[in-house]
Amino acid sequence: MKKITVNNLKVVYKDKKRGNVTALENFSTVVFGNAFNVVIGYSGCGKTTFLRAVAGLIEYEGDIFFDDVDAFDLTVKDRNIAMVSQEYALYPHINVFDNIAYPLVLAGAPRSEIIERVNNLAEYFGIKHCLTRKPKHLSGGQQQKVALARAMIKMPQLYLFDEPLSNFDPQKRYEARQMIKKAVKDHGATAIYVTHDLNEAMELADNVIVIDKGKVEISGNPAYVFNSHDEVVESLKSKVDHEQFIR
Amino acid sequence: MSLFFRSKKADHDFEEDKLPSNRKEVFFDALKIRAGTLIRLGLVLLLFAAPLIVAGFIKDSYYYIVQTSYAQGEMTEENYSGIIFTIELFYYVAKIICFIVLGLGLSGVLRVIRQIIWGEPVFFWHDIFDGIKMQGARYSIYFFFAGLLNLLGRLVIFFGFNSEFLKYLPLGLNYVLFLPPLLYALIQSQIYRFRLLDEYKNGFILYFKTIPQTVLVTIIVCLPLLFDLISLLVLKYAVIAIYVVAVLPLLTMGEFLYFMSVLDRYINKERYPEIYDKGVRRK
Repeated sequence: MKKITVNNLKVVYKDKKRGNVTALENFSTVVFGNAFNVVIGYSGCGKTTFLRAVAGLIEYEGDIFFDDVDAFDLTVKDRNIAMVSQEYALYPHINVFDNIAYPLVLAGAPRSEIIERVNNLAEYFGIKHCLTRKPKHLSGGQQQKVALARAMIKMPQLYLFDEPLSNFDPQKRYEARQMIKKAVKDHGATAIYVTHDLNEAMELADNVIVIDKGKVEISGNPAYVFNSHDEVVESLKSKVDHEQFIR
Repeated sequence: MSLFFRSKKADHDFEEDKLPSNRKEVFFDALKIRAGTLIRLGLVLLLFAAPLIVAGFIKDSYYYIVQTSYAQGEMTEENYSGIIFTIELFYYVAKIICFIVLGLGLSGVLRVIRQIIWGEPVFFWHDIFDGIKMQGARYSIYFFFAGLLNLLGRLVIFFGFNSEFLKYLPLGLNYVLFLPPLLYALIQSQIYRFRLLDEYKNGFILYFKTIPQTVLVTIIVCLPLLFDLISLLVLKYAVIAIYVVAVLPLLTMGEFLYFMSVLDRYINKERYPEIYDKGVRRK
């Protein structure tokens, strides 16, 4: 995939208490293919809504194109997407092997292929010795690796990461994001990574998209965004400093 | 939905040294992490043992009716013996077929148990059918002979010698000479591609090399014979069903592990080092 083009995206939620809530409006951007795109902004700015629209999980107005193909013409399955969130969503009642293999089992892949691919991924993430264990026996970091391995098993063309490391302590978060970036790069896929941590964005991104109040505030390479003196970016910088001071 | 899938986490990484380092640990580890699979295996065994259980129940019911009639003086001793013989004959002939069915099921179940104790992925129904497809015919032959020898042993009891010892000798030999090598053969089928006779011959050799331990395992295998001591029919068959579902898979797994250790010592170490100690963490 070369790029995802988003034009005038509008997403409106119906809320019982607040009525219609506009989560995204006039939202236009380009997500670069085979690159790590980081979407950053404060809570409630529409980051996750954007991910869900790309994944085809919610209704929207406007256009999303995967290369030249309108996303409306693609089923969720055809988009070949894998989503990883902070909850990992591992099945607690089955072991790690079965968790990783699940997407392939659902797709009806041959058993030999499932075994080979699960073993390769487990080897890659250093969790081969955990394959017979249930998720509850694993640490948070190992569970994250399982979630990643499961996301990668079908070799998706696009990864959507929704604050996958927000439950980690700073040291583990650093190690985990290196691992995620390497895994996506090695696979040669496109990633959209949502975070509210500017450090994380600068470290991971090939392309940064800053969102505020449902609109794209600024986007570009990390150095350009960091030095832009944009109001939202400056505010995010001050939060980084503040957080570092607290630690 | 996310709440439903939010699983617990361990405080520390799961390290490799927590994996089982001997066969005893493999057994208890499998109990802990594969309890659900073992129960499913028990249910599969119950399905394949059902014809045998039903045949036994019918035989015991007839026995009860005939014995009651005889006790009430409604039939002569000659009649009584004749009817009992007919019931037994039908039962032991039917048992051959029931044994073959059980053998088919066991070929699938042992395949899954092999995967469990080797720490390999289990595709439950796939492995069951694979086991039946690959070993079903061989197990059917073994179990056919087991049923046939059982029938012949019973016939000798009926028509055979006057001496009590000689009467029960063939049946005894069946348990002492036929069964232990058979147990080895069943396990070898799941691991190697030997010819049937070679498998059985190996079983004999290994049996004689490990007589005390193998006799003990054979006694454990034969423990269900004690269920005949339960006089209340419903209770007896309820106990048998519970045994098949809850106990038999564990015993079978324990036996598989024992036989694997023997095969490791006498065959794998020299000839097949790639499967030596398989499923056990090597220190």
